[in-house]
Amino acid sequence: MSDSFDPVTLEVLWNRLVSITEEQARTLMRTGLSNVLSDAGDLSACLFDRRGRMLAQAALGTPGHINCLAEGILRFMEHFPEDRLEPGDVLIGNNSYELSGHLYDITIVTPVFRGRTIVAYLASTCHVVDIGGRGMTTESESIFEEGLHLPYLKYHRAGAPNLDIMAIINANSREPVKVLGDLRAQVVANEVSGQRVIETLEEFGLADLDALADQVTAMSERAMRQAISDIRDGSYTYTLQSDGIDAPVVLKTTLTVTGDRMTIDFAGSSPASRKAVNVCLNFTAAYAFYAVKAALVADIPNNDGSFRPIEVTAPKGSILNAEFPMPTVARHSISHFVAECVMGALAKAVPDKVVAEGAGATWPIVTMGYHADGRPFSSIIFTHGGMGARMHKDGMSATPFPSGVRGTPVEIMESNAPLLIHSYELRPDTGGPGRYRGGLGQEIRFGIRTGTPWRLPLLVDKTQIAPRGLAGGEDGTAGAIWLNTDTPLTAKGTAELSPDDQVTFHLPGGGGSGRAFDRPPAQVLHDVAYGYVSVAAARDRYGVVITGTGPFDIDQDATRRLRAAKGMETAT
Amino acid sequence: MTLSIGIDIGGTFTDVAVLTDEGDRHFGKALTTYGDPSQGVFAGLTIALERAGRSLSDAGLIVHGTTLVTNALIERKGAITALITTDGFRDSIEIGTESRFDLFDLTIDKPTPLVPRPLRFGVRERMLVTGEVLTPLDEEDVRRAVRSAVKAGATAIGVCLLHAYANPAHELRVRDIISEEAPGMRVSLSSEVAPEIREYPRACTTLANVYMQQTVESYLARLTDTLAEGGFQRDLQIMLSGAGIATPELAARLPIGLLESGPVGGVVAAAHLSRTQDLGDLVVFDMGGTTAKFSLLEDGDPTIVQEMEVARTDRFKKGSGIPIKVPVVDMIEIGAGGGSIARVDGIGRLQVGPDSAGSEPGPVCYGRGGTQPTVTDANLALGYLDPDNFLGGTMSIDRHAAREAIDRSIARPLGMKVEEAAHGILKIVTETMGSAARVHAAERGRDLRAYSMIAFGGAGPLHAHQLARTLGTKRLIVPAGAGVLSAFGFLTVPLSYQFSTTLRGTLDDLDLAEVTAALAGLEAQGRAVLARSGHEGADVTVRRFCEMRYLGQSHDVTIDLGDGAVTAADMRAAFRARYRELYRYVQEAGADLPVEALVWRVRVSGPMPDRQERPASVSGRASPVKAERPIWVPARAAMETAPVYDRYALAPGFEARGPLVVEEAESTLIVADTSTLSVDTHLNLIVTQEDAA
Repeated sequence: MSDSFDPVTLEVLWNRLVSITEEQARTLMRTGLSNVLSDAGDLSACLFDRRGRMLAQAALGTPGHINCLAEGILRFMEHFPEDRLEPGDVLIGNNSYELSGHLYDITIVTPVFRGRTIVAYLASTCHVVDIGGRGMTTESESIFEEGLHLPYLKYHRAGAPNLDIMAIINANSREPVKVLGDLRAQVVANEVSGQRVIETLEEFGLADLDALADQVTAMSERAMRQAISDIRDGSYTYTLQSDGIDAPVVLKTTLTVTGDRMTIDFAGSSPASRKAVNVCLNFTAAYAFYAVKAALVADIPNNDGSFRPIEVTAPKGSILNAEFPMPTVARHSISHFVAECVMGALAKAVPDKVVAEGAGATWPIVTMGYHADGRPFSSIIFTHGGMGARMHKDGMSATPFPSGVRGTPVEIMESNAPLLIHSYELRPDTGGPGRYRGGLGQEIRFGIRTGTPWRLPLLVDKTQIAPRGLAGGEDGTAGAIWLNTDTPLTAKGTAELSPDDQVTFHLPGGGGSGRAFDRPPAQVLHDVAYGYVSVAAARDRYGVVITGTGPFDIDQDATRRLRAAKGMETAT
Repeated sequence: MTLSIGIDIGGTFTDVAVLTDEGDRHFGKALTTYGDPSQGVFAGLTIALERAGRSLSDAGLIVHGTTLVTNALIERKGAITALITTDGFRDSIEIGTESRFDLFDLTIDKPTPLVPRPLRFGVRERMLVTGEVLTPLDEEDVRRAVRSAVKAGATAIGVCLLHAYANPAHELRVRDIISEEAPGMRVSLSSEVAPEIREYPRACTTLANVYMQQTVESYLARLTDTLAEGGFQRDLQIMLSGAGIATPELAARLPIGLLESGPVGGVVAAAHLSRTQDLGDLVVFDMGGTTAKFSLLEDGDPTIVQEMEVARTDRFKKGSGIPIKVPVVDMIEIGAGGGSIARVDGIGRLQVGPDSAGSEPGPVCYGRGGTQPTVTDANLALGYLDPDNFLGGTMSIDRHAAREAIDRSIARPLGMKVEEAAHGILKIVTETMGSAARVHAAERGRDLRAYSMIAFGGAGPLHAHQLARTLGTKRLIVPAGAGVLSAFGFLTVPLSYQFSTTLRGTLDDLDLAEVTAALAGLEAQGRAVLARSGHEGADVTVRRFCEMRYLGQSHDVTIDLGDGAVTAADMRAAFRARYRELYRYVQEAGADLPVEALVWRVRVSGPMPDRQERPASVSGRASPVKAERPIWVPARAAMETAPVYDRYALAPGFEARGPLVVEEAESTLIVADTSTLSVDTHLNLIVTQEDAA
């Protein structure tokens, strides 16, 4: 394939496409009606060529949604080939098995016409606040309990909204105004960006994006192949365990490098669950791709080309290849571990480029109940434990990985729902010790101020099995959920609570990397002074003896002796 | 017979502009002296005053703006500061937004909070979102916290309690206790500094303010003393980031108001030109050595926004800095300047910036050890800069070395000619700026094709014509004195202060009597402050704004409340109109969506300064063409000889067709196509786009 654009024009055009998707994403965040979209940013905004090859996406947004669209767009195109589309058409769908894994994520696709010909597609996937069914809970046992499925449909026909679909959504969601408002934002964002695509083609005198797509995807493909070639051929495996529901879930990955190709297979992973934590293959692949790209080639454009050298497979019937009619609504509590599992395998091939296991899955605070006057409320807030340590840096505390969503300010939480947050602080001694420490988890205590009973669907993980350390780094601390002060709650299921009950989330801390005894004592001292690490943990886990009660100091002699003794111990 | 003087202390240069009563302008430039900035000020003043033939005692007004406050914050040169917050929330300033600002880069760093964890103290108390007290303030907790802070050496305390914007009672009591326990301790309350919902940015703002107070206060005191010693007897005023000026006392109390005080100078100067010369809606483009800045002016009015980010860990990545809620001119800054480095990346893409060679080592052509080609090197290779006339001939630069470096690093790896590669560098830097400007405009619901561009800064006029073409703006204006505009800009703004409060409610259940009373209260506060500077009654302009959104949204739309009585119907209409303008639709398809009002602001301003300005005179040179030289003409992909005009010899009515070059001391205008250059009565250079591109 010869290059049609000189490097200058290519860069100029490329820049333009990225800015088009940025505009799309910002419009979404600014005009969306729910905090899930506008505060948490649970979205993606992507541009495709007419053959459905992903070209660019907004940096705002979350990798699961972005990479799912890369394949998901093709399903829309199969259902609506070009001859069944006309200008002004807008497509909608939320297939749990082919798109981004649960009914809550609604994808809107807009073909961009120039005259009567499609030149591009714009698409976005956004997490809506409520899609009916049982809600955000792990308890459903089939897709039929999980809410409204919108198969591939036309949401607008030739510019006119399909009022029938809107009526159906309106009748099936607990929060129809917010859902329809968010969908409207998606439609408009695509439309505005579609117009920009046309303007760009006109400005540069191009008929379509094909040649540009060929070239930018080829570049990303070359870079990805090069990065894979730099890895020694062979198979690298990693097994990660998470709480699961009744028994631990095992995710096993075998990453095989052959020349400039990579396969990532999940054979050996747990079978599908009876409950709603099953992940469709497309979502599994999205986070597998993400982990490889972030580790190997963070700075090249993420597009169709960067996916080509990598094949992701998982056995049918396994928890990472969900099929109709398996329940999937809480799939994030498993799927977020896919990236960490792939990181674990990559650690054996390119140890310098990975991160240790962290809290992984987001910890949503989902509350449902009734105000004192009988009006219902339903709220979702994302919170995050610690990220695993990087190879040359500490892990970040209270930071999502691999997800790209955000938290919500306490004052906003309390104004959007009758929540009362009692504390929201870092949790000491939760970061796995290491030369580089894992990020700290959090302690979040909350209740409700309606004076009425309430429900708390729980769909969190890493409460039984701690995030693992890397390269000699120690594990982070597992999470826990407490009702009032002394009653543990299980990580999955729905708690029925009394008006005055308080719940405490202890979010997991990330694993460390490298040996804790190699961490410079001065850094341990800093961690103690900051309250990230206790004096006892400094001594027992880092071999650093700290004296005083603030200001603190290092007992250098005792530290040397302790480290020498422990070093011997570790050596034997 | 008085002078007005503008002083802009930038990162590299200190600019001084002197305006006489007769409207004559004089200018002085000196290197910024970091140890004691007043030395640089004096050096610049001396030059400018000499040129004016006057002395400092003739000055009636000095307006001062600076980037030094931003730099001090970046370098963490503030007070040892403690935080007092609601028990259970001391990590809020560290947890931030719980996000990664770059999706793929696993090595990012989050900003380090201004207060280290050992100096953050939780005290038992709790307000509800309604402003009701859930838990009374535990005064013993406060006393203990203050004693610990003092013991740790803190000289400043920021107080940010949950929902204090809704009820400041506990914060006020905390301040009393602090003054009992630690007289003389500096204190900022979140309910006074930034009384708005969202604890993270509110706390950051409060802390940044009290953290910088001592530094700014002593800086301003030193400057005042130095100026007094030099014979200056009258008013010193300080430029604020929100496009107003303030007395030094107020500026020292609210130092966060100075964070962008230097960079806004150019914008307010452009606003002044737009008003006095009737230039219409403008894209303001200011490009220097490291960055380019953009803003929009409508009817000569800069847009003021209420949040900015400082001390980014990744300078050009949104979300990597500390959020500060303060009125600031709506500007974007892009990593594109003369020093931006060009390279071919691992996959064969030509990349320019955002990293910059700065002034050390600088571009290759400076001959100070730089080896990577920069935008300035590209301009030199294409003949757009004259090696013998750089900075008015005060600095010699090496064209050959620039070409060499471009050839080695760009042209050969990409298989291009040197000129093509150099032109490629400029095209990419132009597109980077263009994309950012387009997104900036789009986010504000604006279409740049209806705008003219005004360009200044050392590198602005070099790139402006090409950029204007890319953005589709029809007319480019390069004002006289384009290199020194900011310092003059300071002399064009009124005293201005903003006050705000949060009163939350949907339009249907908002208590309008309460709102009206609150607005009146804010206005009275503002008038009282202005009265101290002698502005009263009709001298004072009052503007009122409200931030609104659909219930549940996180992003606000600012509406102008106008002068009359506040009604829900008017507010709804104004909200809908602005929303449609921004987003092309309103979120009301059949459903009756509640619209919420949150933050109310009142801006009071004194009168606009009314000063004569006489345009600089035209020199008597016989022919305005001072030379000819070959420049790169992209349309013909060749170097062609073009006339070089002396800007100081171009009189009103002059007209010429490109390709051409216009040189003045601090900047060069390039028109590399057949567009038309003309000179208007204000001696602005006007470039009108050729019709056929």
